[in-house]
Amino acid sequence: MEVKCATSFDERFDPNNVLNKDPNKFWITTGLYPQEILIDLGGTKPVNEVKFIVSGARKIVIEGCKTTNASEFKKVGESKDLANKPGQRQTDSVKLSEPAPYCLLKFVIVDGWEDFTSVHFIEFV
Amino acid sequence: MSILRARVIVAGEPTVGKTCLVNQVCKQSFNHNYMMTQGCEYNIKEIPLETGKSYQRVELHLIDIAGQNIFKEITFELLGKANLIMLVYDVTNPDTFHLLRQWLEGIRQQNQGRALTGVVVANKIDLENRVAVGPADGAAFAKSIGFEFFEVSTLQGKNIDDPFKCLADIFYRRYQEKVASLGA
Ligand SMILES: Nc1nc2c(ncn2[C@@H]2O[C@H](COP(=O)(O)OP(=O)(O)OP(=O)(O)O)[C@@H](O)[C@H]2O)c(=O)[nH]1
Ligand SMILES: [Mg+2]
Repeated sequence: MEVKCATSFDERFDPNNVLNKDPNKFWITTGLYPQEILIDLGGTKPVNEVKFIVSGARKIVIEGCKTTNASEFKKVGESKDLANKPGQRQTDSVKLSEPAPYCLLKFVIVDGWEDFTSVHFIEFV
Repeated sequence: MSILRARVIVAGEPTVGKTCLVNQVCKQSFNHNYMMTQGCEYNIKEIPLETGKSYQRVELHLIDIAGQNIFKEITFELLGKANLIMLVYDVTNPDTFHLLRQWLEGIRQQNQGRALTGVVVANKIDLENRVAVGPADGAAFAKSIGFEFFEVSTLQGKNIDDPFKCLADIFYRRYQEKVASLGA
């Protein structure tokens, strides 16, 4: 499993940190929304739910792709407005409306409460 | 190298000089004739920052909003997703100064739950004989809402880069604070 691309880049904060369990390692957006991070699941894997730890985010959308052809993304899940907790981590999850095997998943931060959103951990179950 | 990007709402009454200011700063051009903005205009101003080792810059995505009332319905939506605010008034016209509170209120309504800050810009200080709102009033208002205050003449190009540089600095500081708060 690895991050294929991300829409913000600060060399101090590798996007792959979102797959690392260490909560002190993170990826951060550098301004404006939406922002997204594309994750290659390393083969076709069944996914029912996406769990995450973030800060500053307002709304998350998950897009899924059942092939390795990244042009075939479809929206498969969406959060409500996350709780606005300035300076604190938000732990939440999105249940997929279409639980199925996916090859690629996009974690889209549609909007933020803060100027910048940090993403500490993303897990697929 | 990283690029920080901010959505800046440029707001204020008609004819205060919002579009002229943005065009002067982004394209070095000044229009003596009033061309009313319809809806909004979109420009990007890049501001390099001296931050020691790595080269960094802030891109200000300037949303220059129409001041005319007839566009209120369309422009209301555009006030959302703001990172920073630039409120502009005309020093020769007190109404444009007093109505800034209302503009700020509208912007706040569209950005509930967000911490907002920015700059107040007093424009047209070249019209010395017609000044009706003094700098002390402008500065006091800015202070009361937690904004920085700048006096400029877009016509003469006087001080026009300062409020934009200030916005870029504020945004960079916020980024650093966010990163620091995460324990990095
Ligand atoms: N003397 C003087 N005139 C200025 C200055 N800046 C702008 N103007 C004039 O003010 C008029 C209005 O400028 P605009 O920039 O179009 O005004 P605006 O705030 O964008 O107006 P709306 O788009 O209707 O909201 C123009 O005729 C400009 O030439 C200045 O610094 N000094
Ligand atoms: Mg205009």
